[in-house]
Amino acid sequence: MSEYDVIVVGAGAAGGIVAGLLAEAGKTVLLLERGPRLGVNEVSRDHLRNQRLSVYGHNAGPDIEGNPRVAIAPDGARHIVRPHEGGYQNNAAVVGGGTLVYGAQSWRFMPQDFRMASLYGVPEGSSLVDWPISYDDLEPWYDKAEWELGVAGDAERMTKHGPRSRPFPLPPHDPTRSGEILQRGADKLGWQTQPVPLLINMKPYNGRAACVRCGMCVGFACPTDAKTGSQNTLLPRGLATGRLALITGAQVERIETDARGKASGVWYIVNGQRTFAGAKVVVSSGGAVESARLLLASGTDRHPRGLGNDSDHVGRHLQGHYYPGVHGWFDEIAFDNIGPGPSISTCTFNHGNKGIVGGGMLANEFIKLPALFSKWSWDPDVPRWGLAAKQYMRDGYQRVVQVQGPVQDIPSPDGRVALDGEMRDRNGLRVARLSGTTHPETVRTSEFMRHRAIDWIVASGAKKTWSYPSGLNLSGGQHQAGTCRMGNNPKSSVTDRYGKVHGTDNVYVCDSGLHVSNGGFNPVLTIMALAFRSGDWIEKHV
Amino acid sequence: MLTPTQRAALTAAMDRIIPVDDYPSASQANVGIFIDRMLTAELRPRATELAVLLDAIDAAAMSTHGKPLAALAVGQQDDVLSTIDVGKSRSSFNWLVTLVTEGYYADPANGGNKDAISWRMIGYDPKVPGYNGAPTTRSFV
Repeated sequence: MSEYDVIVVGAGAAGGIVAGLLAEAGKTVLLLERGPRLGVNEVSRDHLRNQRLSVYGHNAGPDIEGNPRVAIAPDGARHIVRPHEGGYQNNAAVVGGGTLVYGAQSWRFMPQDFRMASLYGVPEGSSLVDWPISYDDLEPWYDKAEWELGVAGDAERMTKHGPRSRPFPLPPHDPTRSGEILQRGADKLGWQTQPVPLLINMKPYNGRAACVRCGMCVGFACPTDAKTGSQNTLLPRGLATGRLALITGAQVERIETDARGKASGVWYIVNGQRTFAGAKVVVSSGGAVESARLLLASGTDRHPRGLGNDSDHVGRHLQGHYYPGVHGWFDEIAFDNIGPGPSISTCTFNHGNKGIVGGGMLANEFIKLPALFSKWSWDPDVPRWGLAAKQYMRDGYQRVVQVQGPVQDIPSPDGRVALDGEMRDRNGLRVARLSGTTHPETVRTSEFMRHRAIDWIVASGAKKTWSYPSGLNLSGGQHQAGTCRMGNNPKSSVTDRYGKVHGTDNVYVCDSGLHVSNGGFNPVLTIMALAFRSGDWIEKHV
Repeated sequence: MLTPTQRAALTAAMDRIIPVDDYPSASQANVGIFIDRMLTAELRPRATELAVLLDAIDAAAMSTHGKPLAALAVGQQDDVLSTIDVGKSRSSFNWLVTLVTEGYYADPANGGNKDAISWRMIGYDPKVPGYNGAPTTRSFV
């Protein structure tokens, strides 16, 4: 006898949506989240401990103690890393997940992003494959996500993107000063541009207020709750039905399955206490790293290497985004203290670049905290201390513009999440071990895009530019993806085209782990669209 | 924790890292308070490294000018710190520069950036309704 129809593990971008949808559809749902539920004014505004600049910690979890991972460096060295340290590939641990504190860029992937292998071929050593679904398959769900959640943008100017059912429900925000400067350059170069689509209320929507254009956006909770995530949309809708139970501070230890691959529920831990909860369906929405870790930790006699892992794909193909970019010095004031910041973007180079696999979008940066600017935007020719350094902050803060964007990772099977053999977390569970890199072809694409960023900022009038070449590494972090890839063939994938884990009757993955490739865009809207699609599928098949 | 001599060297050093002009120096903007707090919190494990660096700075000042750093003229202080910046204490000095810069430009709730003076200097305003810089602390998992 199951206590619940569905158990969802993880209340982030996808989990909060799936749980809310299924509760509204009449299912009884248990949503387990390892982090707390925080109101927007309970999330710290510490400039040195936030999701954007985590020098000493985070404002949306996980706690820096008790949650280690193991990172294997390219030279083979084993490092035990804490959540705010390099190589951890962190995402938030809180109700809403990253969507509580993110920058909220809400891009659709392009039609080409779903068939990268067909378009470009497979670079040797890469595990690049096509998605089992097309843009057209996902379009109705992108549309649903945009309207139910509330995306602000200008559809008419998104001429490089695929066809769409409707425009956006909300208008874009006005360009910032740096956006106007970069428009000049794009016009000179003949490049396509559009405002950056954002999951931020540019006017009141869904009963929440509008953005006040404050100066602390990405990395923080929104003071007017205008930033849209699962925590202020589908989650409260689900809770209002009375059929959704949310337990916070709950870490899931394993998914329990029988000899035939049928899940009976999950074991979870709250304050050190182990509890079993039964359900007809289990959905893992912990993000690409933690969902892979949970499947690997849920092995049985029949599936000793972990659920869905008979073909050894769980945890592999870990990808995120390389982020090439450039800084430019302008003699004019380029700063107007208006958030969120990204107001102009180009999709001129996402595809069709001769001799290059894929590409990416470029946009201007989020409004920068002064402490962050001092770390990330320093002119390398200026001393780091003395009056010259102080003068650089005084002059440069308002005159330095950054352009950057996510480059489509080319996956490698060696970039992976595994269970570490030794290291345990605060609950005694084996932690994620991260190793390998993305495929080297990614570096070539990243370098190509860095030079396009330079072209743009020079054409816009920058008097001086600086940028840094990309090095081969493992990407993941907030854009982590690919570790539970969907596919039609169980030999080459972890789940079917609806996210159901191969070899199981009723275990689903619903998060960025499903992404076969990760587009040259921030992935959250694709995660959300897949969540709407999965919620609909599970509702009809349970 | 730091001895009075080390503390004097720290104040002198931070005020050459961010000197006074028409806006305050690092110590005038309470960066010392920021560093003190960090040394009892996340940076407790590095307190000894800071003490060793400050001793090295004073030793360099003594050997070249016959006085500790705090007793030198600013031009002499810059000479000493420039030597440290390329010497064997270089990585510790770079860390001190980072720490002083963090304290000066981060939010006042961290202890430095008194009255958000550095933000006014560069023209940044968080413009968050109801935000007075008070810290918010919550534990996670």
